[in-house]
Amino acid sequence: MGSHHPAGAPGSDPRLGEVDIYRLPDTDLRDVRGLITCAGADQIFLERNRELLTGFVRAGGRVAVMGHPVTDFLPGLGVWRELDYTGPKDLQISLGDPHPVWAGIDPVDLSARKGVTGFYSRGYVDKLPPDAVITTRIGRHALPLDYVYPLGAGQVLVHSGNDLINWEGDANTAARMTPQLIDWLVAR
Amino acid sequence: MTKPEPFSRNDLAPQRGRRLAIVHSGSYAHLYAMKDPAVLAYQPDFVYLPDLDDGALDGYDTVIVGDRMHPDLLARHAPRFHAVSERGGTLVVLGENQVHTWLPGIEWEHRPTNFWWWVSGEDPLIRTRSHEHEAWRYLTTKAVIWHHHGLLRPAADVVPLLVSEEPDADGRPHDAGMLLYEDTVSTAGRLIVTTLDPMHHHGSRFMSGATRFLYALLRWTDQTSPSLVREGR
Repeated sequence: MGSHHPAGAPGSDPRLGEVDIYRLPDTDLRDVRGLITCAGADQIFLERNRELLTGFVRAGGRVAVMGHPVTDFLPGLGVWRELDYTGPKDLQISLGDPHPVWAGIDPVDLSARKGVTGFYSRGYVDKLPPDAVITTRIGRHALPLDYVYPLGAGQVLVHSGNDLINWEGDANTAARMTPQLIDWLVAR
Repeated sequence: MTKPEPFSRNDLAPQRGRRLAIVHSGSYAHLYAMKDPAVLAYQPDFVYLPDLDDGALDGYDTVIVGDRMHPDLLARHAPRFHAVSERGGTLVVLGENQVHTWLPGIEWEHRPTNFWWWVSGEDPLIRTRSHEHEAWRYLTTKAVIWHHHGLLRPAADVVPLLVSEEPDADGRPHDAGMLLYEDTVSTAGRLIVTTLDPMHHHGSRFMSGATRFLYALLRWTDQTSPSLVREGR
């Protein structure tokens, strides 16, 4: 948070720039194909910039939303609901509809990290847009978790957990989500 | 005082006064904590950091600076936070806030965060200290021993409450730095500083110890707030 490297942070994927959230309204997005809003993002500020974000997507941009959407900063965001979990099976991840961001990923690698369950998410999503594709599911009842839906000429992807790019260093298939997410964001 | 409305309900106790302000970032975790009835029971006023202005923190017994806030915004408002304890109030600074860059007299040193010690059987090296301190009427080991984000080394003669006990150069255990302390000597009031980030983990619904710490911290600061003590309650 607070870092600002629009042309790309040193050592990271050259396609991935970092914009301080409070500089977003002053950032030239004409050459930007996709945006990731990080899990810790100020959602009050995002909601104050709803028109900017919505206009970006409707014009063909792609936005990947990390964290639990609480404010209404984009049309169509679902509602995150906490699971009343008591053990690992309540939070196990399974794959849903095929999607390039999760292609080739073993859900076992998302379900636990070093034997600890729950890093990926602790809840499910309700009130999804009718045209949403559900890409991952959670728990014994395979409830909807990650989803992607069209908005105008663009698309919105929502992962209600910590930043997917945080899994980049994991020594298993979970690491693939980072390059595949960036591939998807720039593929408009 | 809010005028009671017979047919309009809200979460504001009419006599709540200016006891507690919680400064938040607008993150989902903070927004979640702001809806939690167990937090609302303490009657906090919630102050959104980007809109913080002159006078917003005046008169509060306790101001809690939420965890994981934007470092530039914190630095910009540092004099307003510092003024809380300078005037005799309690300032609580939660973790992952680069507090060493905006509160005077604090050094911080990175430590890797171990999320797995309780599964792998490793010793997290987190130890409680100063057991005679009133904080331990409220805090439990479950509430404070989960993980941390680096060590604090304040210059002042503070009360260490939670430390990292690490081997020194000769392999002997020593207190390498603090994870939680109370400082009543640097200012007229009280500074409580921690590397723990309970609002983030409570709001993410992921770590029951963090929830315990948040609730116990609220109770501790509430029960020992200056106006309660002053009124002899």
